[in-house]
Amino acid sequence: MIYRCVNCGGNVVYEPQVKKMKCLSCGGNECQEEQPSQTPDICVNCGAQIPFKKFDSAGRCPACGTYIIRDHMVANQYKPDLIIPFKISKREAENRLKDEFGKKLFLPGSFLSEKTLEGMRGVYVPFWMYDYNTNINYSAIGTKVRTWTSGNRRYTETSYFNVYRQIHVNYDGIPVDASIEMDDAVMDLMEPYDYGQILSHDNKFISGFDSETYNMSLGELEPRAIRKVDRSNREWIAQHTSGYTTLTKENMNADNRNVGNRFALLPVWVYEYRYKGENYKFYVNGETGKCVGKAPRSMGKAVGFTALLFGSLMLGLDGLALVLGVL
Amino acid sequence: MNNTKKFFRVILVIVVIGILLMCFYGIKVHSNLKFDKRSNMECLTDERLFDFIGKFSSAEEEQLLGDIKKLENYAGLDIVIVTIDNETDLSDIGLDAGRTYASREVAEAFCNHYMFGWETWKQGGPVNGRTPSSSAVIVANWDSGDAWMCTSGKVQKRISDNKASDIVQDGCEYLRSNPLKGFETMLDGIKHSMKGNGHGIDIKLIYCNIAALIIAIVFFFANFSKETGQNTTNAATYSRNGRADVLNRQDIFVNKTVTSVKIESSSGGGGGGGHSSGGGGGHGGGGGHF
Ligand SMILES: [Zn+2]
Ligand SMILES: [Zn+2]
Repeated sequence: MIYRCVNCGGNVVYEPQVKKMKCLSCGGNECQEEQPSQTPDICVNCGAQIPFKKFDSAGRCPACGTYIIRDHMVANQYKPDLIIPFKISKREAENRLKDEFGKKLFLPGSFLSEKTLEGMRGVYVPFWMYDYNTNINYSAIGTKVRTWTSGNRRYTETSYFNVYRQIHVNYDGIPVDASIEMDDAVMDLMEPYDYGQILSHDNKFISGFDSETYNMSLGELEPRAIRKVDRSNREWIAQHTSGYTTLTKENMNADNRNVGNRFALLPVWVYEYRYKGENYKFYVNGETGKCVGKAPRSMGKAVGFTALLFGSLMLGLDGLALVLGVL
Repeated sequence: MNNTKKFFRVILVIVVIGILLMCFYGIKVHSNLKFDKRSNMECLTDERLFDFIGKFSSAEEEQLLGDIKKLENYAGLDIVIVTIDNETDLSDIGLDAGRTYASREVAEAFCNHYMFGWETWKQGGPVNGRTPSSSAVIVANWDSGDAWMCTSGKVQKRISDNKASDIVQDGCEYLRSNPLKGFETMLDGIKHSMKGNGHGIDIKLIYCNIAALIIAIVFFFANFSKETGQNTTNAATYSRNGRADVLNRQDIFVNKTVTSVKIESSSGGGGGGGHSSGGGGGHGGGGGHF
């Protein structure tokens, strides 16, 4: 389906800056009506075949540029529970990238250029969110060490304790990305999202962006959620046993009871840059603006700039030394 | 991209400063090396190389004399090189034949006896009623391994006694194996020092270049490092109200052990020694050993 303008028939998309639907043709606000697809993967506007990939739930018609939502990929079992709509506009995302990566000296000239930034895409990434009611039982032998000096001897006193903690935590919305295409480590670094801005899903928010439904099931991805919970559990224990010099014979038993799950779409800007046959991907959290990526480097610039600096420093320092020598 | 501009601005500033310093250096050296025409009419000899113990072949002698001449014309001073051993008869310059003299005494005696120097010897000075003028007399004794450079006049002003010692010691490294190279090294040291006026700070250029290289390497790696985003979540991020509730907390004391070790007292090291030798009799100079 597409969102069509009731005034001019243009394509209406979600505009993060004004948090409103906006017609791309006449600029009208909230003037949309849904126009469902007759045949799947055929553009409602121009009839072109759209090369959607298996899990895509929204994208753009390559022929006419209309933003299409695949009806059957946002319905029934694929209907998302929650969504955080894009809050950072494309322009803002570009500026974040420039702030984060554009300051490096050895960047290739075309990096973050207007031309390469055109291809930046806003993508709603599918996430499973897991809630846990966790009880942790922890025991260990703790030591506290005290040293002092008396006369010409140094004394070390080691006190031993039986340490026991029982801790209860409610984890809400541990996110795990359910997209095969998105790198897990990168998506983990995109966190945290501000759940204060999370809304019940509405298809209008994905008009104007690319989107995917979950590629893997809730059950398949739960081990990743548990790993995150375990990491947090250990952190809580460490915080609540911080007075000890060492902790040995640690025994931790966590009962992580899954008490809720949701399917959510979270916004990410993706900028792809090709340099010397290598693909560099940059990600900007569409809600918070946090950037993740590895900046490419031009070896020529690196060597050239370093040589230039070396040469000029030699000139300057030698000049200084020579002048100091004959003053 | 702004940083690239900043970088080039910094480079430009360094280069401009470097060029200005180089120009200033050139002007300063030029003015320091200015000297009047030789006017010492009282010098008793034209000889500049007294090779008493035959350390040089005639070809080497020619080369050394040529280099002495060049340096004399460059910096305006008389340079004399003397090789002796304990048996050398120095009665010509007024030293007792039967006695062994330190290189320093020999050098000063040479200076006073022949009255080396570039400018006119003035009346009323401390040596035989005359003030010594610009000269460097280098004496090396192959038996004692003792070398000395006696400086006077302009040379004494520009080459401090410490520096004279350094120059002589640099040459001493080679004297045994290659006397020519040893003395040539000393001549180079004199040439270098005569460019200044004696108050400068001598920093070897190689240290400057190493410093430049280190800064360049640090610059390279600082800018070459790749960085990704940082992990900005912690345990509190997904914990309700950002906290965990401690339902039960026990810290039961079991026992304690006390161990002790004797503290090793470390004694501080003593201060370094050193010796300096000031020039006497109106001369300056410095020596070395080989
Ligand atoms: Zn319109
Ligand atoms: Zn179309």
